[in-house]
Order: sequence, then C-alpha cells, then structure tokens
Amino acid sequence: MYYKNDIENNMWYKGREVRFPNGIIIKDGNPQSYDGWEWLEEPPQEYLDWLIRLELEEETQT
Amino acid sequence: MSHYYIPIAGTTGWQRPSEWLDLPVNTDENKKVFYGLFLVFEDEFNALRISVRGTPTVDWGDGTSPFTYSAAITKIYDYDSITGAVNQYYDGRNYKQVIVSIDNFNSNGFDIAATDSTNNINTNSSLNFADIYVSYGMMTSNSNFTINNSRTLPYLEIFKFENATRTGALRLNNASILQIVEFNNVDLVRVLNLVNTKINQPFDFPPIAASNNANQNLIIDSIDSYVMPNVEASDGIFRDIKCRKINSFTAGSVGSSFQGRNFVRNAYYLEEIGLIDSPFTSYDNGFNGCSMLRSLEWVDFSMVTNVNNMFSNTGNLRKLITPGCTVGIDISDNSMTADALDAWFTSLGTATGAQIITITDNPGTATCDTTIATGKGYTVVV
Repeated sequence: MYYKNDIENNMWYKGREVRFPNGIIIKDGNPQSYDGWEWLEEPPQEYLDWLIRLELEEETQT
Repeated sequence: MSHYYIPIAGTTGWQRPSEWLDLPVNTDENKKVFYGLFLVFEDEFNALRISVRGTPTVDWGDGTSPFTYSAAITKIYDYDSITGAVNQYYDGRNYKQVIVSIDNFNSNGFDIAATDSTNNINTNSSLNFADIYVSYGMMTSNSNFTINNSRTLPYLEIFKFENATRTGALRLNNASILQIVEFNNVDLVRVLNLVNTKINQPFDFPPIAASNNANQNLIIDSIDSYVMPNVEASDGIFRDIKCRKINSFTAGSVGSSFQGRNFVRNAYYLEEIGLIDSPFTSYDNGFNGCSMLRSLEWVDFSMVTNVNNMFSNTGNLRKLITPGCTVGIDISDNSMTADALDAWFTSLGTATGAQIITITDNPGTATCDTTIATGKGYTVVV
C-alpha cells in the first residue's frame, strides 16, 4: 500500500493506486515511491499512531 | 385521548382533543401574552414556578384571583379544589384542566421552568402543559424565553409562537409528544432549542440566528427549510438529529468561527439534504457518522477550505455535487457509481495547490473517469 504523510496538515493518505495531474500513475508498488508516496508492505507506526489519535479525538467529541 | 391516534383516510390526522379547554384567542400582534393549558393530575405533584421580568398579570386559572407579578413564585395546584370536568388521560389517570395566563411580560427574560428547592421542583421535574400559545408582542430580545430548559414536557402537544421581531434563546427541550408546532409572524429566533424533543408533524422553522447543538436528538421526519440569515453560532447545527430529510439549508453572512463544523454529525437516519446554500468555509467532521446519507448538493463550494473528516463513517453516499470545490475530499468507502463520481468530478473547480481526492472502495471507482479530476489538478487515490 502507498502511504503519504502530509505533515503540514496532520494528514495521512493511503491507497493501492494513485493518479497524478501530470498523467503519472503509481500502482501496486511500481514505482516504490513518488512525490512523497511510499509503497510499504506494512503500515508505518507513525500512521498507526495517527489513527489512534484520531479515534481518541473522536471519542472526546462524541 | 390524544397522542396515540390512528390517522384515518380523509381526515387531517391528529386533532386537538375535544375535551381540552380552548385557549383564549389573541388577534393583537402587539400583545405580550402566554397562555398555557395545564393538566392537573389526581396522582401528580402539580407544581409550576414562574420567573419572569416586568410586572405582568398572572392568572393561575384555578379560580384564585389574578395578581400582579413581583417575584419568582411557585404554584402547587390542588386537584380536589379545581372545578370542572374530570378527564382521563390515555393511560387512564384522572386529570382536570386550568389555563395559565401571563399577560404583558417584558423582553428581559421569561422562565416557566425555574427550579424551587423549597418545593422540591428540580431540574428534571415535569411540566404539565399540553397546549401553549405565546404572543411576543413584536418585541426584540436577547434574553431567554424558557419553556422548560432541561425539565420535561411529557404532555405538550401544541406549541404556537407568534409576533416577534427577534427572540432570545427559545428553549423547548424534552417535549416527547409534540404534534403541532407553529411560528407565525416571527422575523428571527436567536436560538431554537429542541434538544431531546420529538415532533410528530413537520413544521416551518422560523429564521434562526444561532444553533450550537440546538437540535441534538430532535426526532422529526423532515425539515422543509432551515434558514439562518446571519449566522451567529453554528457548531453542530443538526448534530445527532433523528431526521430523514432536510429539504434545504440556507445561511447568510457568517459571524461564527465554527461554521459547518459537526454540521449533521452522527445524524444516523438522515438520508438526504436537498440543497445547501451557505458561505461556510469549514465542514470539519460535518457529515461524520451519517451512515444513511445518500445525496448532497451545494449551490457553491468554492469557499470551503476545511473538509477534515467530512465524510468519515458515511458509506451510503450516492450523489455529491460540490461546485467550484478547490480542496481534496476523501469519499472512500461510499456508494458512488462511475456516473456519480464523474458528475462529482465535473462539479469540481480547479485544485488549489496539491490536493488529494480519495475514492477508494466505491462501486464506480474502477470505471469512473478520473482524468476529469486530474485535469483540474487533483491527485486521485483509487
């Protein structure tokens, strides 16, 4: 899965295929990385931590 | 009697129970008056406390003499001493009726839900009104007009409010069997609190200024039109509402930093919002948890900059139109067909900088035309 961390906006994105405005398509790990997107077999720990933080934020708001 | 009724073809549905006393009729828009049909039960503690401003004339309706109000006062009705017919409530309990009248109050506060520890009237005590009529006398006010606050209104079936230039916060919470709600000749209600209230028939909402979580757990089938001419507060306008459809939402100028945050968050039963016409720049968590929501359309989306978790925990979205959108939105795990996705892409404006759209796991993900979106500068995650 490709992962991308938008640090400025505290966001993570993920997907198997990403299509860019310049026509480039990255898919299933080919290429390994492009424009901040990185193909990883397992989700990075920072991404998992971010998900947990999101859940906690949601719990405090509901 | 009353709220357990079966609609019969050719009738108008729910009817005011014939045994109820008629409220006085007011035809003067400048008159300030509260009339309330109060049920006095044989087996209940029938207490009413009023705390109002000004020096209105108060009539408890039980044969005691009307008096000029001077300070907060509690009335405890004596069932045995009230004249008039004995009626039976739907559960078989006996009750009698009185009509409470509060005439010529002023705009600096009106509270008929005040607590009174001396008489054990606490914040959760019920209020026995079944029918309420208010004429606000074309007053302008920022003060609260409190029918119940957190107290319950288990018998209230009719609420009519008329003749106001601007009200303060109108609190009508915890009414469980409201049948008819009417606002006539009301230019603006600052806040209409309907928290935990159930309204059995749709009604025309008056123009509203502020609505922070004001409709939490409101149960109503549909809302025809919700208008906020000048938004003073708007965090969670329809949060937690139990409503099938909102036909339109319109907002004018925005004076609140909250904007569309938590707009319809966790409105699990909401299927459709007809058309949104608002200048909100944020829908942070706006539709989070609306798992039955199918259709959304804006008049103009170009001013929106914050879509954080906007469609988290949705799933049923089949139509999305965001004209002029310039930001990336995540609508993964929804129900958009290829045609619906293409229509959404077509409605988008040009992306502002690097913007990412996520359409993963929609029925049309594999076959939609993502070049419509990439051609406008978006990166698309499929």
